[in-house]
Amino acid sequence: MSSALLAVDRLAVELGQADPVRILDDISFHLQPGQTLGVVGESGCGKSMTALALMGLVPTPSHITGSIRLGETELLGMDEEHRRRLRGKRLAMIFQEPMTALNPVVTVGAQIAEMLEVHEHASTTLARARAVELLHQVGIAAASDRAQAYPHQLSGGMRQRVMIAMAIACRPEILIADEPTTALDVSVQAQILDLLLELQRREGMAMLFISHSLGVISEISDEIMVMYAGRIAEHGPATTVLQHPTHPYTRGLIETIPDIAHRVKTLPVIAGNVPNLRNRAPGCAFAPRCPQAIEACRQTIPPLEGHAHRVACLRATVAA
Amino acid sequence: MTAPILQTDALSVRFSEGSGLFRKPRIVQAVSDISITLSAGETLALVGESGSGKTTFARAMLGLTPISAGTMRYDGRNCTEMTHHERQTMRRAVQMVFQDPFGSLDPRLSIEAIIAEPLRIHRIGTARSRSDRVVELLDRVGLPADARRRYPHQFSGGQRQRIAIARALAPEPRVIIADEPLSALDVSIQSQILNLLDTLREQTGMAYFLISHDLAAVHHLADRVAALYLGRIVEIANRDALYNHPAHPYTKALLESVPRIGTGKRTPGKALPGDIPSPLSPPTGCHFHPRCPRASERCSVEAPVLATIAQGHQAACHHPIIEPPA
Repeated sequence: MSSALLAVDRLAVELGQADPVRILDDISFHLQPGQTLGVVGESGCGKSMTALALMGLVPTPSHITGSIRLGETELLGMDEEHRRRLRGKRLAMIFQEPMTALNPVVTVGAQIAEMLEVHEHASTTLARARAVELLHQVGIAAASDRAQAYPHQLSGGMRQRVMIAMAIACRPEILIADEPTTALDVSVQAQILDLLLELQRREGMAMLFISHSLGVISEISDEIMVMYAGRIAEHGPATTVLQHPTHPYTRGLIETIPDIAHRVKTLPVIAGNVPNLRNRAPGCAFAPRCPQAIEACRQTIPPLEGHAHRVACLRATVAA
Repeated sequence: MTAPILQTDALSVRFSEGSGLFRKPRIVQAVSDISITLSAGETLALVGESGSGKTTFARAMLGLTPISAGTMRYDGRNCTEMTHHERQTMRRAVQMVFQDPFGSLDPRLSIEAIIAEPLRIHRIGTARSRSDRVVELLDRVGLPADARRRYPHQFSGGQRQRIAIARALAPEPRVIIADEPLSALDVSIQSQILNLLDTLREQTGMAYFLISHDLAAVHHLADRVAALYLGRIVEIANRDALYNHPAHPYTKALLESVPRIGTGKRTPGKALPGDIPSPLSPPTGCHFHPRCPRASERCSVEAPVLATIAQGHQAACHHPIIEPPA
């Protein structure tokens, strides 16, 4: 697809030097302008590492292969200076815990203004004025007063709004949101989801939205990508993935969450634990926990097959 | 109805903050006038957002935080008037499971020592019988017997939470107070622990006092639910009444903000506005009125008291959402 804003192709990441661990493997997907791709999975499945790889923030020592193209530009192998200029400008990211991502000794207004001074060479006066405007845009009342506040003086929800204001300051083409609502209460989570949808509608940016919560992912995504043990298990349009999940892991994830509308006596469970990537068994990483697994699953890693709806499972047809 | 095991009557907890030589301390009313009962075999859940006072209330029930006003009773006995022996009996009968399975287990103790600790403290059994009991408890929570020789760091989060549950079960409690027992766990592990808690309740007839912000998990496990806002109970009812016919606008808003799977992308504009106010300067009248879509003048002046809406269903609201049962 040539229209893709972001094209990731066979991305793999190995961390460590002496005894490297492959924590991302064979990740390929496209992101279209204005679209939200929801990435879901449990801890250690590679969601955050995918985001860091896109941002060029994978911790060293590491070995990254494959391709990440932003429009016509290849990001892998680009020198750090050019990469740094893209960060914040064309690609921006917000994190789970805004308290650790914000500088505690600088007012939030100055932190937002810094983005504009660095990336757009705006004058301090102009940047400060624009920062207040941005705070207003992300729904912070009395924005000019709040711009003078330090992060600790704001509530968790407000800090996340400040992070979002910083992220959209340079009108990025892609916003990467890594568990942006996980540390928040449900009522504030709903506010932040509304804000992101609203900003996306207005600015037309694409979003890569990472969450362990299938509920949150379901409410914000156009497409859903389910990851497990560093690989894509299933990827497709949100309604298809949720209504006709084909990978046993996706189905397990959906069934295992208590549903207020349909209470069942005993919840279906996914037996066992998320695997340790260091002692990875051959074959499909989900096989040890999979109710459908056959001998072949334990021997070969299933390829990700399909077009609009892709699944990596030898038993996909059986499961469907 | 059987006599309650635990009962609080207008229980309040106040903290003073920032007192200095010449400065008047500021009073934080963390929990105000909470009256609840917990009977044998039932599960009562306390829901609310962070800062609502859930954990403070649980700690007060366990005697870990001093009560400022009101009473707490165990088997009808006022806890402040208990003899040493009575207090020991209560401490044995009311056990706790914490949120963080990494912080709540002593890393230097073997699993056997961790699970047997309450038995040793309460002088239950001999060393030999305690060892047998540990194996039995491990089996009850779905862990192999050889786990007892190992240490907490050798287990995953879900396994550690099973160990914490085994420890709580050891002295055969009548009540387990569980403070966010699922929130540190992966979703696939949460359902395993929910099922375990459900099975144990059936096997033992224990009561649970469950504290959680996860409304879906609460719906799965609880018989009755109390919603807390800034230290006050705003609504309490049987599970189905509360989820199907919430009377308080806060409860309704909380239920509506739970993300649902498969209902499509959300339509912005329905989120509850604002943040939970600081308990240092709570709003006048009804604490919820600045965020409430139904608020009137009266709400900013007069604090509503819990009033009966239907049998077993109470709400503290001047303008409750009247939704008669279909």
